Parts: sequence; structure tokens; C-alpha cells
Amino acid sequence: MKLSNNQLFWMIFCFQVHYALNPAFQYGHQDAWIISLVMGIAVMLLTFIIVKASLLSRDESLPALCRRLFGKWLGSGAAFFYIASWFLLTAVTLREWADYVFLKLLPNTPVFMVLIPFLLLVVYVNVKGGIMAIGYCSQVIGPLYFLISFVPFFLMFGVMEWSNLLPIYTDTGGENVLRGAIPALADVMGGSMVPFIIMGKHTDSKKTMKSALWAMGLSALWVILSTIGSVLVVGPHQASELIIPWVDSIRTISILDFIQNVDAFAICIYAFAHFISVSASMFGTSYGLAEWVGAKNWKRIVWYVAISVFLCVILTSNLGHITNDYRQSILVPWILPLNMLMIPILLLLMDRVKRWHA
Amino acid sequence: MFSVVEEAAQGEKQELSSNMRENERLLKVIFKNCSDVVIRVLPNPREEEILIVYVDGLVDTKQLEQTMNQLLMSAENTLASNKEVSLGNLIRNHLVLFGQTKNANKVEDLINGVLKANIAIIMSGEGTALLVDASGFEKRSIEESKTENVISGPRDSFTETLRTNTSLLRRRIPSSQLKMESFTVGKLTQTDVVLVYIEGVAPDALVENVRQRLQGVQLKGILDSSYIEEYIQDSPWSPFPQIQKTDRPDTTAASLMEGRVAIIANCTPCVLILPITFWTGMQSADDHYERFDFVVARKAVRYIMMMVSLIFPALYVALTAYNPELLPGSLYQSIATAREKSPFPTVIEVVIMDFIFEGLQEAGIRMPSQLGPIVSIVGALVVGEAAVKANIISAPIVIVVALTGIAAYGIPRYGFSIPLRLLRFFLVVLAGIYGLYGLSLGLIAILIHLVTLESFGVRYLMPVAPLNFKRLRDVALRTVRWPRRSPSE
Repeated sequence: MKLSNNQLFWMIFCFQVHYALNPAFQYGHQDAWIISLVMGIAVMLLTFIIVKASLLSRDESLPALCRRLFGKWLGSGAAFFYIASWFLLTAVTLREWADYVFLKLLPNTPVFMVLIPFLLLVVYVNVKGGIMAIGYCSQVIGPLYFLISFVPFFLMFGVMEWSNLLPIYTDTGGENVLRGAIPALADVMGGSMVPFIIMGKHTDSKKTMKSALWAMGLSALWVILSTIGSVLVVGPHQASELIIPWVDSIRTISILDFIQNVDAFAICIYAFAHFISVSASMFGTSYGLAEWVGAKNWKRIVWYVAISVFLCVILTSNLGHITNDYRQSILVPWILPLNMLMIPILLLLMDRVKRWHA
Repeated sequence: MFSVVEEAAQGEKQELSSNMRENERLLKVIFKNCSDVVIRVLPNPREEEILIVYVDGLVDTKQLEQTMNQLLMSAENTLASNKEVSLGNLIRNHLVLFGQTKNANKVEDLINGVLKANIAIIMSGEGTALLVDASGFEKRSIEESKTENVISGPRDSFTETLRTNTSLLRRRIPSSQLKMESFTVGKLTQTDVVLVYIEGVAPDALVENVRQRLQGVQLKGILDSSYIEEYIQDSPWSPFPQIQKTDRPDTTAASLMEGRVAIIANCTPCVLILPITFWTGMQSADDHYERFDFVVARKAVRYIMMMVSLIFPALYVALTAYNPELLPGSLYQSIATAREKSPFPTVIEVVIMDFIFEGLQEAGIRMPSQLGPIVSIVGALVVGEAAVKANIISAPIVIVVALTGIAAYGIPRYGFSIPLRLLRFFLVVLAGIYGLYGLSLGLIAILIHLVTLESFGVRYLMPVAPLNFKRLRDVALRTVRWPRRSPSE
């Protein structure tokens, strides 16, 4: 069985883009929405290129595709680069999630106690049903995540201070817009790389491109709306200081003076969405690694990857650092130009060349 | 003793002898100590011997006596006037009118026939027994369903008699496409089981799958259709039912028309319907008999009650013990005041009260009807009021558990409320350890289980995952039966 477009859409949408807000605020303050808008346009272009490249592998895995088009050694290297980046992504997403839970729900619980049950669920879904089970779960979780993502924006209208958006552009300038848009772009595209690359072999439809573009478009729209919302509610300067500004913004919501602190409920839904993103990353890493080394049983590799990820997470630095460090030292200088831009373009070019020669 | 048993076992495999006395002796060995089995030699006009075997209580003895008297009287005249007519042929021709008849040459066939409410008649000099279907045992009349109550719609329900049940279906779907395939299941009980489906509507692969599973049932005995359910379901470890049980003929007929299949076993009023999905449990029989707008509202209430029944106690534990800031100040103040003198942590309180509630339910079911009110008194006064007044249990817990209990009864199919009741404890324990985060983890675990669960090739969460828009309408709403306009309009 292969993933349907609907499953793919929700799976991609469930990938976390919350941390894309931070570089936008850091460089743009009240103009963060302009950075998000530029980032949104770049997201659509990059999505188009990556999906085109991933659809080259309709009947083969990513390592096989890279080896076919780049040759044995170069192809293996390129595929390994993807697998390594997915592994890092899994670890970083987990670390971010542990920080979320620590900050908002369980401030006195050790990180490993938070991670163990979560990782067990990730292993369970992979071993029990693989990418199909993750796809089915995302069909239930995705709509809930959609609601908790967009509805709070409209519930905050009463506390929005619209003058917070002023002055527009003059404080920021083109250079800052670009400097903010690039890491924001890397953050938004980072997680979604996994379903993009695995979609070639695991989806079976002509409308895959449409689903991917819609999902990424929706994620980009959320980033734009949430930057605007955060600026209007907590102000541009405070927003740039906060680790998760959006979650602090929705804390101001009060429904009929009865339901307050909506952020804690939102985090429960974020738990579901994080589960989808970590599970899909785990699947990509384990399945890709099994294909790369030629192992028959990829489900066994899930356990090894899970244990390695767990060790990486509990040995990394404390709260909030991991995302910035990862973004500054790995995501922006390496993964964005190589994994997201160069290798997909080269794959497309090599495919054209090979077809032309054939 | 051993030799008699061995002789009986050997005898069952034999062919019937032409020697009447030999057959009689063998049958008496086989049916030794079976006081209900009648083995009797009847006198007759030609001095030929007739051996008659039946189980007292299973056959209609009054009708048997009347028929045999008539038969022997008319035989006397016929045999006297016509010497060429044999007694065997005469009896055969006469008894054809009595009911379904068939011949048995083997002792084993004769025994099976006799044990299934047939009268066996063996004539001397013949190695063949005539089996006459003369079932006349006591039957329960068709009554109103006690497990699936409805406000509107038909009132009849299945009984323990297989043929009554098949006739209830045949009356609703009088079509030759309605097929009823017979199987015999259970080594000792030899239970008649019927596989029912509508040819051309139920997928062939599904029918074949169920047929094969029924043929593969290797059980000693079947006393209820649940035995078959456990044997043929896909995931025995899942708490969620993968086969629907119903005692309503209208529900069964509707399911058959939707392309599903039913299994009816003798001696049980519970009919099995498969495949099913999670949403089947939320459907009531009278959803299609009421106005659609009312049904939509009622369905919404049911879904909310389902969620309340599953997560309310866990949510209470998580909010009061871990995240009180989520509750409005005044509400939390009331809860905190009520909880002030309670000696137990919230999670222990909830588990104790939930356990007591389940215990009260169990006692209520088992208790003789005369003692029924005692359960209410003990439950309401002792547990509900006295325990709260004595500061052993806090009052909000009683409210939470009572609401949860009521919500569980909002689920129309009893089989579907059981997994929710079980999983409620699982979620409460997780919420006790991790608060809201634990509740989320528990719900994710349940979701993974549900999306990977299948019922005879159908995904359990269909049509939500995988998504099917057309069928999704029937899950959340009820399709309206708009009147079809004629082409002229």
C-alpha cells in the first residue's frame, strides 16, 4: 500500500515550524511578517524543486536513485548526507519537544522520563505499521492540529494592538529581510524534507505535487499569521526575546472568562503533531539507513536509531540552545544549500542528461 | 468399563446391520446411561420388527404417537389386502408427509440425526434407517430486544432457535440473492451455524474469507456465538470488538444490505455481523427510523459522551494534580476546598471510585431482582454520601465518576463501551504519572492501535483514516432520504 495524497498532506503539515518564528523576529521585529512572506514564497519554490526531484524515484529508494544518477560512491555519499540530516532532525525535534514539555507542563520531570514513553510510541507506530500507520494517524491528528494552529489567531482579535506593526519596513531594510528569511526558510523546510524525499517511493498519485505545495503553503501561511499575531499581542520586542512566542501569545486567550490558558491545551495537540513529525523522521532515517546498508529488516534498525537518538538528546545542552546551535552550525550552512537546493537540482539535471543520452 | 467405551467408539464407525437385534444392542451400548434416549421395538401387523429411536424432549412425541398409530392402523389394512407391499416402503411413503426425511446407512449418521431431533426408524431385514425430522422441543417466543432498546422501529428480536432467526431475516429480505450457507461447528456440540450474505452485494473475497475461517474453527463445543467470534477475529488481544453482536433482525438485515455478512449459530440469540468499524459502535438501530435532524443532534451527543467516558476522569486528574492553572480560579477553589480533607491523592481517589462504580455495576447485573434496590441504596447513600461526609472521598470525584458512568451508557452498543471503560483506567494512571502530557501519550497509543487494527480486511477507523468523504457523511450525520423526482418534474 502507498500513502494517499490526503495522508501526505496532513503528514507534511504536522511537521513543526514553530521555531521559524524566532529568526523572523530576531531580524525583523515588527516587520517579521515581511520576512515570513518572503520565506513563504521561497518555501513554495524550494518545495517545487525538491518534490520534482523526489518523484524521480517512483520505484526505487533514495540511495538507489542517488547511486543511479550520481554513480556508486558519489551517490552513496549524497544519500548518506540525507540520512545523517534526518537523524539530526529527529534528535533536534525530540529535544525541542522535551523543552516544550519541560517549560509548559512538567517543569520538575527529568528529560529522560519525558522522552522514554514518547520514543516508545514512535517505535511502536513504526514497527507496527510503518509509514502507512503514520499516514493514518496524521489523518486524525492533522485536522486537530490545523484547528489549534489557526483558530487561536481569530480568538486573539480582542487583545491585538494594531499599532505594534508600525513602522513598516523602514526599521528593517532589505538586508535584514534576507538575513531573517534564510534561517526561517531552513526551519520551515527542515522537517518536511523527510516526507518529501520518501514520497517518491511511498506515494502513488499524480497529484503528489499539489498536496505537497498545499501543505507547505499552509505551513508558510501559519508562520505569516503567527508572526503577525505575536507582534500584535505581545509586541515586537518581547516576541523576539521569547523562546516560543506564539505559545505565549495564545496564553492571553480567555473564552467567556472560563476557559483560560489555552496554551496548555494547545501543547497537548502539539504533542500529537510532534509525534507525527518524529515518527516520520524516524521512519525516513531507519528505512533510508536500511536501504543504504542493504539490510533486509528495516524495523530492527528503528530500535538502534531510537536508542541513538535518545542518547543524543539526553546528552545535548539545556533548554533552547539546541535549536539555535543546530540552525546556525548545521541547518543553514550545510543542509539548506546542499540537501535542499544543490542535490535536488543536480538529481534533476542528471536525470535530464541521462534521458537525453538514452 | 473400558471395553464398553471401546465398543461404543468402534460401533459408531460401523454400517447399520440388517439384523435388528444387533442394531438395538449396539445402540443401547452407545447410548448407555442416556435416560432421555428412547430405543424401542414396536409391534406390527406382519410380525416384522420396527426399531424406533429418538431423544425424549427433543421430538414432538404427541405428533409422533398420533402418526405412528395412524400409520400402523392403515398398514394393517393395506398389508392384509396386498401381500406384495413391504412394510418398509409403506412406512417410508407415509412418513414423507410428516416432515423432512432422509436415509442413514451408517451408525454415526443415525446417532447424529437422533441427537438433532430426528426420529430414527429401522425395519428388520434392512440395513438402512429412516430419519424423520420431528423437532418439537420447547422454544422461546419472539420478544422485544433487551440489549438494544429503541424508541421507534421494529420490536422483534432473535431467539435461540436457528430456523426462527433465519426466518426473521428471510421475511425482511425475500430474495433469492439472500444466501444461507450451513456449517457444523464444534466437535461435541455439533452446532449448526449459518453464514448469511446477499450474493452480489457482499464482496466475494469477504464471503470466501469468512467461509474459510468458519471451516477452520476447531473447538470442542460452542455454547454461544461469542465462541466463534473469539476464534475468527483478526486481533484477539485488542480490547475493541472487531465483530458486531446484535439480537435485532432489522440491524442484521440492514447490515446485509450494506454488503456485510452475518453468522447465526444455533442456541444463541446473538448474531455476529462483520466487518465493522469503530463508528459502528456509535450507531443506534433507530438512527434510520427517526428524523435526520434529530439523529444528527443525537449523534453529536453520543460522540461527546464517548469522549467523556474515555477521558473525563484522566482529564480531572491531570488538571487538578498537575495543571490547575488551566481551570478557572473559582472552579479550582471549589475543588481544592472539597479536596482539602481527603487523605488520598487525586489519582488514587479516582481509581478507587471508578473501581467501586464498576463493582456496583457488576453486582447490579448478578444480583437477584428482589435485591436490586439494595445496590442503589448502598451505592448512593454509603459510597456517594457517607464516604464524602466522612472525608474519605471528595465530592467532585463522585460527580466525575457518576458522569463518566452515565456517559458510558450513551454508547448505543454495549460491546463498544467495554474497551472505553477499560482504557479509562489506563489513561487515569498515565495522567497520574505525567498529567496532561500522559493523557496525550495515552491517546496517541490508543490512536496507533486503532489505525493499525483491521476487521476482516477493513480498516477500523474507516472512513476517517483512510479518508472516504462519501462515507464520512454517514459517520457524522445521517444521509437524508430525499424524495426522487420523476423525470417530468
